[in-house]
Amino acid sequence: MANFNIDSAQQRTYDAIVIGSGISGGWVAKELTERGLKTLVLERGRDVKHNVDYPTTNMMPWEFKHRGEIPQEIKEANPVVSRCYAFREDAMHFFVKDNEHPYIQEKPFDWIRGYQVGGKSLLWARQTQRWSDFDFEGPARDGFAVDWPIRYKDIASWYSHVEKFAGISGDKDGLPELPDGEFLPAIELTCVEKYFKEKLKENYGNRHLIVARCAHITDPQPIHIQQGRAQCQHRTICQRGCPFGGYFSSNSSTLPWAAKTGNLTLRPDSVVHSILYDEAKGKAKGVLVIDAKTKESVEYYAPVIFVNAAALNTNLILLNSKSNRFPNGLGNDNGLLGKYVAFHNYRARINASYEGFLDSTTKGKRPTSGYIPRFRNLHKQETDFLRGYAAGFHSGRYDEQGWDGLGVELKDNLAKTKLGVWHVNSHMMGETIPKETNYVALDETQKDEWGMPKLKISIDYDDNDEKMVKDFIEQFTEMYEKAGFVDIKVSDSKQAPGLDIHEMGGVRMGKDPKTSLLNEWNQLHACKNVFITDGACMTSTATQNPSLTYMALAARAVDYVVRSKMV
Amino acid sequence: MKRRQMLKHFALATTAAMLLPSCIKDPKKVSIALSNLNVTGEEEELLAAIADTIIPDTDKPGAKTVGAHLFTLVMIDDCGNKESKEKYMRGLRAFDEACEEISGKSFSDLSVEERLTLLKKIDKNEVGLKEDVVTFYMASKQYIIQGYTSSQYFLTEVKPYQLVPGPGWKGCIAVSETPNV
Repeated sequence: MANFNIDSAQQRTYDAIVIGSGISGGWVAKELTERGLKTLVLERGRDVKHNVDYPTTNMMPWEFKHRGEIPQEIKEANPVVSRCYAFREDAMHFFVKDNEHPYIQEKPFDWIRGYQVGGKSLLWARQTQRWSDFDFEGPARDGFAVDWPIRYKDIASWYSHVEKFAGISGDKDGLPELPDGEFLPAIELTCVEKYFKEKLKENYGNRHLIVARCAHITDPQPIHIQQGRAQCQHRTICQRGCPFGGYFSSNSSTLPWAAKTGNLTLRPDSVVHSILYDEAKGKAKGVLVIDAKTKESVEYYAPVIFVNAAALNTNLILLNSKSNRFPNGLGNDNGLLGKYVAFHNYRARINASYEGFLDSTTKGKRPTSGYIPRFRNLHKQETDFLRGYAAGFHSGRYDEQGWDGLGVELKDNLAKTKLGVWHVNSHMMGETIPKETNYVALDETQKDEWGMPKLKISIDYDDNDEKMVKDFIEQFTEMYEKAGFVDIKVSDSKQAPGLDIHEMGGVRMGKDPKTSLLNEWNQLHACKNVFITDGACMTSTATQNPSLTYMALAARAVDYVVRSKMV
Repeated sequence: MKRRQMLKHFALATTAAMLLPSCIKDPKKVSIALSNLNVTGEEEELLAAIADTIIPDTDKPGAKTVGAHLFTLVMIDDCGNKESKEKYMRGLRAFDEACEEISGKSFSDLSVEERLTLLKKIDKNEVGLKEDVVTFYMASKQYIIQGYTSSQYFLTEVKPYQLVPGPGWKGCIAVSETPNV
């Protein structure tokens, strides 16, 4: 019997364990298995196999009973996830429903989650802008959070590494605030976007409009064909899962790649309860898993553990990993675990019309849009708020064939297309300042059905965010007016934090163990064989969509593990 | 053709009467499964007649033929809130009465031309109608048009939907190169 136990423990021992199979966990799995390491990937949700488990991917619009709309009963039962733009009839099976995994909102927070193999990489908006030193140096220059322990030069080659494999389309724009990368051909801007780009240059000099870089294969390279992925077909129904693998997801790319090495073990339906700490050896030894279906617990062991459970769940697992050495959560000597959480401020929008270019229009669909990198407080502090915002910018002409007439007249009209004037719209993507008062913590009393404490979330906007919303509206109104856009309409959704789906931090990187949790290699200062390379590691948020940076940090950390012979 | 159809209906009715003698006096049932709305077969026929007036069959199928009236019931049933469902049903039940007040006949007794004339009046808000009836009409019209323009027929024959458009995006082309404009 004793021998059986030893054998069994050996069977449950790997070179490395990765908690989470989303966009960053998938990268860790790929990099580890490629280097010959036997890797166990634990995913709390069900398995979703590329193509096989995309039930709606080839459905026609009329095949959806409610033509995409979410029935009222589901909306009422799920107020949080129903506020997410992508929670629609075609992709609702990839979202966590409110009542399946409740959490405690000390302040309103819309926590949008995807519990399945691939996580939210199936659902993301696929925008991939690099950070620059204007971002990495931000906290030190402007005196907030703590200094990042890395700079652009430390991550640049890792951006290249992940871009080449993932397939990123874009232009080389030569902007220091948004460094160029390894780009496949860009997806062309519209006439009005090109016009606005020129107007911005003319009126401001330092405000730029570019094609947003995105994770779509516009010209498949051998590395993409080897993954079984093909050119993006501009279906723009990515959230259903793409049969072409036209956009990057763990499911279409990193996970099958890792599986091909023969070194991957993927275990879905595995809720990680905690990381097990070996008091004698002074390091983590494995994880305690609760089977999502049977509720049975089982331990897995490895000399290296990566936590990529998605920002807030990574915090939850670490907070719940208590031992004699770490009574307040793994690595939490300074009490800062779960604190300094931040997000992106997506509240403001500005729409307008443009009455020029009436002889021109667009053809087809595109999976991206225009992008205006941050221009506020870039080179120096120039406003009464810290940092700034980037913005998406989109223009197009739409079929505005009205419902004129009734009977045969209406029928004839509906068959025609009547192009309206150009519509332009823009939304802010504001940096928020991480603060100790924006935190997540374990609830003292309430547990979920797997025995995990419920997460308490206490995150809010502050005065800096309010000023930024106001400035975005003022600046963009002026930019629009100077470009001759008319019928300008601004709005502030006042949406709760979380709906941006860019929550970050709680396990921040830094130079000093007294004020941060992770070092420059995403390694817990106080427990060196545990690495955090998802959104939880972020010291500050910048304005860029963060996934590309998580991927690069993940690949870089694995390289460190291998180079320093930790396994 | 009409005679043959009548005979068919007659035969069907006779069979039904023979098979289900106890049901013959019950009101007709709605032809689709609804979770909340209590719609009768007659009410479904009324909505079908409205759909057929708003977007009639010509040499090409109209709203009734593509089932836009049934889509309307599904959307009200599943996607409306409690209040809007109740209001819709009140409007549906008051519609024929309103119709008789204006034209002296129930909607089904009107000729095709008379139906169109009546709906045009309602559409332009030229007749004083109860709020519920207006709400019912406007919601029906919206869903009938949506149901029609998102039907398989419309999205394959009239404005074809491309599931796989291919990478031919152009950011700037001449309007003259666009179909249907």
